[in-house]
Amino acid sequence: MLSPLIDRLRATTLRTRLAVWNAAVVVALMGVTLLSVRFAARAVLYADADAELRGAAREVALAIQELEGDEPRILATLRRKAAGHEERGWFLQLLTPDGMTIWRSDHCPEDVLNYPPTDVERMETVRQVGHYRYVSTRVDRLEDEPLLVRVGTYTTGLDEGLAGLMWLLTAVALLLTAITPLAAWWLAGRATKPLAAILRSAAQLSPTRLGDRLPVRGSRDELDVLAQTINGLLDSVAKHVDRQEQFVADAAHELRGPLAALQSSMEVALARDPAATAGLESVPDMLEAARHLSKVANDLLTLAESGQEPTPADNVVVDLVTIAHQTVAMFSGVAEEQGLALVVSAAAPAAVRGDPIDLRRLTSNLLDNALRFTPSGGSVRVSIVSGVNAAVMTVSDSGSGIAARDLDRVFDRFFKSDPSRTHGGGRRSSGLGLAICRSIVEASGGTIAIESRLGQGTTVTVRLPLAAGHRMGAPADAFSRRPPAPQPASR
Amino acid sequence: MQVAIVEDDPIIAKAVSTAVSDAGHECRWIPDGVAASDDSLIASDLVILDLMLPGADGLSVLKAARSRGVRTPVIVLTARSLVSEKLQAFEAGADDYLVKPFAMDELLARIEAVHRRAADKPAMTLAAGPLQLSLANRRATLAGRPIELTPTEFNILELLMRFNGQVVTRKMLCEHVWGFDWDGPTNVIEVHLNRLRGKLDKGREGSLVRTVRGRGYALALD
Repeated sequence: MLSPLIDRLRATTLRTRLAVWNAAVVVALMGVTLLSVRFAARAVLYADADAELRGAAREVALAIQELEGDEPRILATLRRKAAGHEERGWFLQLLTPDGMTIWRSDHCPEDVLNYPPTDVERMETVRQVGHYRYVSTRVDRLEDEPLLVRVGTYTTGLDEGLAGLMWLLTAVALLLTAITPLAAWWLAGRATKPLAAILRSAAQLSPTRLGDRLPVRGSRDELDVLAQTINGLLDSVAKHVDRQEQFVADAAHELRGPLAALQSSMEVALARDPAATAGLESVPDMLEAARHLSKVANDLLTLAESGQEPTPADNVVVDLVTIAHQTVAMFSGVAEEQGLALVVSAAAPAAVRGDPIDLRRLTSNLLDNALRFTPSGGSVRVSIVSGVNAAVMTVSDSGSGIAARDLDRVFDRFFKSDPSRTHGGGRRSSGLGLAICRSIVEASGGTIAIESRLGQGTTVTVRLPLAAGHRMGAPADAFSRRPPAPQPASR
Repeated sequence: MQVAIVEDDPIIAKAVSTAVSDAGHECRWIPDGVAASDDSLIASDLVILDLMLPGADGLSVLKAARSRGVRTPVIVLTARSLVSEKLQAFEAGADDYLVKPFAMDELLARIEAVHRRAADKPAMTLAAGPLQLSLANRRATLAGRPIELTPTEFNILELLMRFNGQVVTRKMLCEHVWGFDWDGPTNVIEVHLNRLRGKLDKGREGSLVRTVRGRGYALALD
């Protein structure tokens, strides 16, 4: 019966569990305390009462022994004692060991009178009969058989006092039981607050921002140790990723020299004398392969570089809408030729921060993909909407779509979809286009997502943080950093 | 023209020398930075300079030459492609910058361009065979008759005419027309080039614009 509850507790937050356990322990301890107090109070009260009764019984026994043989004086003493104790609610009985009452005080209850003596051989016994309690003391006599003196009292008062105390204690306990979970919840909240802060910071961590670290509060407690441990892990992960990226960049870089040698020698051989390559008809194909290799090496380098922290020179404020229009202008001819509608919709400029060349590469790669996978008569739409914090650019096509099982992998390096579904012509792609897109978007602190339905089309959504409050630089300026295009004089 | 190539890779040096010689220039190979730092720079009309060289690195060779007052045009040819590295090269006194691997046609075109820019100023009118371009009002005429061109087509024709007799690569056209050398799978130039052909080649047997397989495009005026 408890197990579903326990299961549910396991599923809840650490704070709830801490609070529940705290409250449960406090309530249990309170219950135990309450029972102990009741037991102890009762024991103390009864021991006190017994001691007084015992004293009184001994006094009577001593008097009887002293006055042995003098009946009238004994009775007078008994009467006097009884009258003395009357107002305290005590009663007195003198009886023979076989239960015959010799004398009794006025208020001695019938229950006690008729109760037969037990343990007569013992000097003193204490007995509880219903609401009455008495001490029975044996009075040994020199010439006669022993007698028993019973001095008793009503325990109703005692019990009522005890019950009152218990009521009070129970009321306090109930109040505490009501307060305890709240206090426990509050305390657990305080205890887990730094943990919640760590969790919030940890949720911000991302593979694209490997420079971020969890805050260490300097309190040197377990949570600080946890944060430091995670930070240490992040350090080594960042170092590892850096090494990997550096390796890719170095490898791509190293490939460039030999590729340049290969490509330029073949180009010269082809250009110089086509006859010289007689018997080597495959040279153009080899050249094409060398160019493809160069393209892969270049894209790998682009990928490795775009994953690094942008330098200030590459991080300017640009209008995403202008970038989109420039890119659409570049592809509009191809779209017309393929019989595709290519439209941009944007209501207002969207100032984002990034490398303008990278942003053009991003939009070009996305448009190129959309156009290549959309059959004639279809459409490709670019829309840019500025939200409160982010500019959202979507590139959607009515193309062949991507199978759900491939959707997770399209941003992976070297992922290539089924080439039979492309519609435009064109060369082989390097398989790095969308990986570069993701890298560019993430370098600008944005996100990229893709949705697709087979046969219905694909939508890529890019979210880039808005560069609010920044002067809008003309994107054209950013291109002037490039080496000038060749501009020779006329002949 | 006397061209010097400072390059430690003998295969690239040989390919460039051959191509430059075939283009009608003399070419000299300097295999390291130390040899390049003496007067070979002054002796040449144009220098193709690699940056990573044994001996002394290309940038310091260039800086030293410029500080001595050497004004010979220099094209940097290197595998380094970061914008910051390009900027450094231009600050050191480079006239142009080309990243390896490169198309030989582009290197040849840049050699011509840099050499002519060093000699005189670009004119406002371009002429090649029956074609005339007025850069001031962006009008084109073919054998005296005006032809209507879109801005993209005009820019493509302009580059082809500037490099009349040479091959213009797709990358050069892309950079000239859209200011961005996107190297993706789709040939964004071809569509516009075909339309340009349609306008230029009306009532003509062959085409005025020739496709050079695997290299690019060139004017065919003969």
